[in-house]
Formats: sequence, C-alpha cells, structure tokens
Amino acid sequence: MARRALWLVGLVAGVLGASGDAPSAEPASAIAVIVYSDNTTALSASDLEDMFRRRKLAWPDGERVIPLNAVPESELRKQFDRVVLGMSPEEVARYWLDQRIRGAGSAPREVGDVFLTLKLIGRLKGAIGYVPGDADRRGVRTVAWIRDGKLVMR
Amino acid sequence: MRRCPTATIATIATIATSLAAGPALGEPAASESSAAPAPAPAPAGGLEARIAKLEAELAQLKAASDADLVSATTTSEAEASDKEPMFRLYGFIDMGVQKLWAADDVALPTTKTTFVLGNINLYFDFHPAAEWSSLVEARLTNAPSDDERPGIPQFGQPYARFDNTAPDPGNGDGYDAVRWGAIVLERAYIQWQRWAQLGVRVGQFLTPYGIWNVDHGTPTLISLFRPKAQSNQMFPEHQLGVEAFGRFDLPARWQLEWHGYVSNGRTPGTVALTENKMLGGRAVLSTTRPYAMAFGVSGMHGTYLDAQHNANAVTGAPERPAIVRYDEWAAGVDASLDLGPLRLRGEGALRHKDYRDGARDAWYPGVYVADGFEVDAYMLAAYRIPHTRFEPYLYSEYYYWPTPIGDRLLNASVGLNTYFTPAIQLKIELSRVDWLETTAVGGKASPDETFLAGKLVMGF
Repeated sequence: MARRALWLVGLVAGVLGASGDAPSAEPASAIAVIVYSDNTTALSASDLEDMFRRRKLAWPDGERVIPLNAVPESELRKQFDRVVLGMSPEEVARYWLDQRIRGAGSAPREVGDVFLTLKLIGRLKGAIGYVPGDADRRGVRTVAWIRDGKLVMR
Repeated sequence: MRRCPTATIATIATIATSLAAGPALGEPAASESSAAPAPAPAPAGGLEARIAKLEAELAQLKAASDADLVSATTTSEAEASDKEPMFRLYGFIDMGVQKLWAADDVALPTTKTTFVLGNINLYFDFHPAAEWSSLVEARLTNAPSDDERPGIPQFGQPYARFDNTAPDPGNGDGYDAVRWGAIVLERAYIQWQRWAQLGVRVGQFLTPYGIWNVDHGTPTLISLFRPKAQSNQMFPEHQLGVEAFGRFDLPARWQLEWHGYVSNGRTPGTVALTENKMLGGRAVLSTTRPYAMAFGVSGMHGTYLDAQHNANAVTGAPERPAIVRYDEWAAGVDASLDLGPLRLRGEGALRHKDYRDGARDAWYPGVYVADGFEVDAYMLAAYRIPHTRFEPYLYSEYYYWPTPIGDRLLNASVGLNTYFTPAIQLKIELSRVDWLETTAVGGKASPDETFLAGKLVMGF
C-alpha cells in the first residue's frame, strides 16, 4: 500500500520533472549561456556583450540575433549583467534608459521563466539566453559558462 | 480554451498529496468523525479499478499539462520572437524652478524667480516589420507663449506679445478660454537596419555630432544647462534629409561608429531654397573595457539662404531676392570617459560663416554680422558618491563669438544630481557667465549673468 502511494508520488514527481529542469552536473549557482542547437558560431566575450547591448544585430549567417534576458529582479540576471556587461542593476537600468532617449534602441526581451527560455531558444534560430547551470539543456547548445563570477567561453 | 499549466500541475500535486496522505490502499479509510459510520471494506477488485482510474486521470492531466505548456510557450514565443513589439511609447519630462541674476535688458524674458515647464518629450517607436522602424519624438510645449517683441515707444514701435488664447466653448459653461500650445517635432524618421554595419534613416533626425546632441534628453545629460555650441546651434540641432550609419568591430574590443548625411541643412522654413545641400558626418571610436570611453569627430558643410518670394507688380514675374546667404562649415571633437563613479566629458566645436555681401544677418538695424569663426569648448566632471544618491559635478566652458557686447565668455557651473531611481532625478545647477572685454550696449552696463535652476527629471 505504502509502496503504491510512493509510486504515485514518484509518478507525479516524474510529471513535474519532465516539464521543468532536470538535474545537471553543474551547480545552480553557475550560469549557462545557450543558443539554438544548430548554431555552431564560436562566440567571444565581446560578441556576447555586444549582443546583450544590442550592438551586434546578426549572426555570421545573417540570422537576426534575438537576445533573451531574465527579469531584472532575478539573481540570474544580476549576475549575468555584472559579469558580461560589467554593470550593476542600476547601471543597466540607466544604460537602457539612456539608449532609448538617444533613439538608439530598446533592451532585449525579458523572459521570466527558465523553462520558457529553454523552449524559446530551442525553437528560435537566432536566440541566445542564459539559464541556471543545473537546468536541463537538452535541445540547446551551451556556448559559455559563468562560474564564480567569471565568464568562460567554450 | 487554454488552461493554466500551473493550475494543472497543482491539481496533479493535490491528487498525489491526497493519495499519499489518504488511506492506505486495501485498508479501510479512517472515519472523519467517530459519529460517522465506518465505511465498508472495499473489495480488492474495486481498489485495483480505483488505482487504474486514478492512473488514467493522471495520464490525462499530464497530457493536458504538456499541451498547456506548449501552448503557453507558443504564446510567449510570439511575444519574444524576432519581431520587435509593433509599438512602444516612452520619453522624458522635466520641470522645476529657476532664477536669473542679471542686469535687465529687453531680450530677457524675466529676472524674477519662476517655475518652468522644461521638456515633455514623447517617443513613438514603431516596428511594423523586421529591419524597419520609425521613431517620432514630439515635444509638447506652451509655445508660442512668451513670444514677445520689445517695444521702443519713443520711436513709435509698440510692444507686442503673441496672444495664443482661444475660446474653449466646449468646456465649462461655454465662456472658458484656453491657451493653446504647439508641438515641436524633435525627430521623425523611417529607418531600415539589417546589419549593425549599415542602417539608413530618412526624415528629420538629430544631427549626429558631439555628446550633447546625441545624448539629447535631460535624464541622459549630466548637466542641466546647455553648452553654447548647442544653444547657439553651431551645428543645426535637427536635419531633414537622409542619414546612413553603422558600426564596425575593431580589435581589442574597440568599435568604430560612423554617420554620414545629406540634408536641406539650415532653412528658414522646412523646404530647401538652394540646391547646395548640407553634407556632414561623424565617426566615433569607443570601447566598454576596461572603462567605457568614446572619442568622436564631426563635421559639416552647407549653405544657408533666406529668400523672399515676391511677384513683380509690372511683369507679374516671381522674384526671389536673397535676404541672407552664407556658406558655412563646422568641425567638432569630443571625448567621454567613465572611470567607475567618475564621469568625464569634453567637447570642442569650430564653425565658420562666409556671407555674401548684401545678404548678411543683422545684430540690429545697421549693424551686421561679420564673416568669421565661432568657437566653443567645455569640460565636465561628475562624480557619483559611492553608496549614495548624489552626483556632484563641475562644468566649465569657453565660448568665442564676435558680438556687439563682446567676443568671449567664460562659464563656470557647479551642480548636483540626486538619483531617486535610475529614471528619476533632481538636477540643481548654479552657473556664472562672465563676458570678457565687454562693451556696454543698450544701456546695459554688464552682460554677466548668474543662473540657478532646479529641475525634477523623469525618464519613462
């Protein structure tokens, strides 16, 4: 009887697990920068910064770059901005306000959910984004890691 | 109808919880109260059927959950696809209070303390298709309020003020009045850009030169007061024409940004009165590492013509006598450097005007503007005090421009920006302007001025 109940709990956990992040060898504190699975472009740290500053608009094959940001309140976003853009949350907010007033463009789109970020990047050829290191990244390609406050390009 | 995946998952979890916490399978369920009759033991076959039914329900819920997630993804995918939002509205506003200490003259609107409405700028940003966009920036003003012409009663020239008061019969009891205000088009263009290296915009754009005209808005600018190069339009602030622009990557994380344009240049109205178009451009070297810095050069050449449009009373033929005509060129250099909390800015601009004889601007009747140079340079240093909202700054400027009251002036300012949020700040600035080697004109002994202003600024 108890085994039956546990089995059902396990089934539910499986359902939840299949629709969320699967465990990974990387710690959750690390950040994986991911792109569309067939995107084999080798990125530099400068490329990554330019994409999220919207200064680089296209991939080498001409596909339009679609940067996807986490929401500003998330630790994921704060860490990414600090390491990749070299800016604090306030500096990022000011940067995009300044860019808008100059008429120089708007900030990347924000996606509030890691699972959704993975889904979108798995489907949009030009997309680039980032997720926690322990997220299930099947269907996307990891191009860089942020570990211990450092950016490591793959 | 779409179902919420979160709710679906919650339903699954509820079933699982109830199963885990509920009666053990094959055993009688505990009674809810001692008064309630104990249920009869379920037969083993019934329990198997119940398990099968729950499993089927779980499978259905799982399928529905997946469908919901896919649906939710698809919806968000449409929102976060490579298409920009069709329309965005943003902008900035500033307003506050100011006071000018100066010897009064007929050109000053007031020397009294006055509340002022600064900028109310709305940006209408359209993206109807990938690579295509349009930006319209409209400034809402009270103009032409305060448009007045000084009078000289002894010479029979009466004082005149533009009256923009109009009846407002649709408001109140039908006898109300309203003071209408005008809209200033700061920019309005259609833009195409596929690559970072090349974009083209057609319409009215801000002239790409220096730091001030690019930063443009009070939330972005550090200082409250504008340099003379800006307020006296050594380069025209706006252009109506075609601008190409782009950015190239250079080694070591440097970038080269370029702009080139052909336009009507300065015009008394909006259409060109001469075939000589204004040609200009700008190049900027910039990087963000190890510090954000940029170094720019700008230049332009153009012809200004103000011509009347008359008809000859005898022949009926049109005549277009030139009232003012000059050729001009201008060059500018600028540099900006951000060293952590320290922000440094500097600009220099040089302009030359070459008039045609008989078609010169006049300072006042009988006194005409000479050919020559106009020079402006400023330095600005701002320091954001760490862990505070405060950014004090110092500003100094040198300006050379031959006028009847003097040729050179020095400006020294001190200011304080207080950031309540990244988008909301209070700017306070005290500025002192000293003319060097001045000449008394129009009964005004000294043209020197002290100006204090405080403005609340909001970007949105």
